[in-house]
Amino acid sequence: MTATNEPPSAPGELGDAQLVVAVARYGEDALAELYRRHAPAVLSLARRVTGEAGTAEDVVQEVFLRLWNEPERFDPARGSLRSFLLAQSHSRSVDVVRSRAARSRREEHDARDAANAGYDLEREVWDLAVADQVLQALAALPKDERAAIELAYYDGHTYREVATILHQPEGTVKSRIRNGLRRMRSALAESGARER
Amino acid sequence: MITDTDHNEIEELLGVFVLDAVDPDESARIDRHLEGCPRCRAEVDAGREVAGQLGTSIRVADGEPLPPGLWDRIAEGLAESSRRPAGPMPGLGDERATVGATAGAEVVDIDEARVTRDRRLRTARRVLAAVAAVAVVAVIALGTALVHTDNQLNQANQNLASGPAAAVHAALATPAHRVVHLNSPNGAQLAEFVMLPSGQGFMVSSSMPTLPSSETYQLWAIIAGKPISIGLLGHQPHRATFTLASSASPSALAVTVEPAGGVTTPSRAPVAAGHLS
Repeated sequence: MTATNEPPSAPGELGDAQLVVAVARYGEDALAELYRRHAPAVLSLARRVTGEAGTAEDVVQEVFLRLWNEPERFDPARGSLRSFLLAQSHSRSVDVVRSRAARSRREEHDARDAANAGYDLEREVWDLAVADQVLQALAALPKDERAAIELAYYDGHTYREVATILHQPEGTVKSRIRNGLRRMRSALAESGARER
Repeated sequence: MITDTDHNEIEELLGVFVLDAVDPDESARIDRHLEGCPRCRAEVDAGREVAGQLGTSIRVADGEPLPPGLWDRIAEGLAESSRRPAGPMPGLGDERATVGATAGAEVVDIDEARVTRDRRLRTARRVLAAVAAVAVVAVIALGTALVHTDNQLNQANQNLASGPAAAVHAALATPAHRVVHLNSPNGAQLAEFVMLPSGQGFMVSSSMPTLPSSETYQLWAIIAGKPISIGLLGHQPHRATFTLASSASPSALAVTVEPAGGVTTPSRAPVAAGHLS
């Protein structure tokens, strides 16, 4: 709520695409709502890939500041905001991991006991349902495809590193990952999991 | 000019590109190619949705709350940002047309959105008032809900004892019944429900672990986006029956672990949930 004389609206009522427009025009409330909706996912992914709670928080901060500064970079025609934010979280996390010399010192996630205030149960339920279908789709992949995807996505390895780890030619890794993603996409389309 | 060789080489890299598993020089080359190649761009967009879903699955497994103070750090950053605070962004240009044309049902004409929003706000207030009323009922009902659930549990058990799950068989024989699986974040099935069009529901199986007696499982229906307490399942759920108003059409069922007396709004992430498709 900055230079306009809009009364505070109910950002919780708006869809993601509307909120991104509102981020550009109305400011902080809209961004806060998008943070509430998507920051847990953005943070969890960054934690998983970087393995460090502090670094992961820096990634979240960067991702949301970038959305604030350049909301026009999100194009709803090209996918959901969730995917857009997660793609940025992933790519920033991977950059951090790759620039870090002591990659092997990756530590387990810090346990945190902060109080849970007001869970967004419906989103949780949705995420659970999607997670369930994603894990099933991943588990249903041929073993080699699954291993390659997990090493690349969750651990942030390049395909060349994945090839070394799996003792497979680079070309094989490229095509396994590509095929695996396609297979997952059609499995998820069948089970009705869609981003929103 | 994109040559076929270029295209084929780039195409092979699209999967690993989507997962950020390419080197920076390859990444830059692919970005350049995408500008002129709608086909590859479509594949990348599709792949990013799948990657996003992989990311969402971590979030659930992680399940930790947001660190306090993180939003404050971001908010401080906003103040320092050089961005113009209001008015159309350069480059965002005619966002109404852009977003409106692509987001389908989402009306994003800002002025119109304002009117819609005010109207929605009024509706939302009515809904919230209704939810609050339900919550009050839930508070009053909670004390009895436990007893009620136990009674029904006993009945269900009797029915089940009198034949091979007679009640469940009867439910399963009802036309248009729906079976709802409640799964944990890691995909394990923790309970199975049968829902009838009349609003009657049965928990027909549960493998939810026994809780200390200071805690209880609580069952929620997600109705119009809000969790409504159905009742307490106790610390050692076995079987249960319940009835929802037939006008209520929940989009999902969820179970949380709560203090023994139950709560009016969920205080934790669900341990299991399932959509009513």
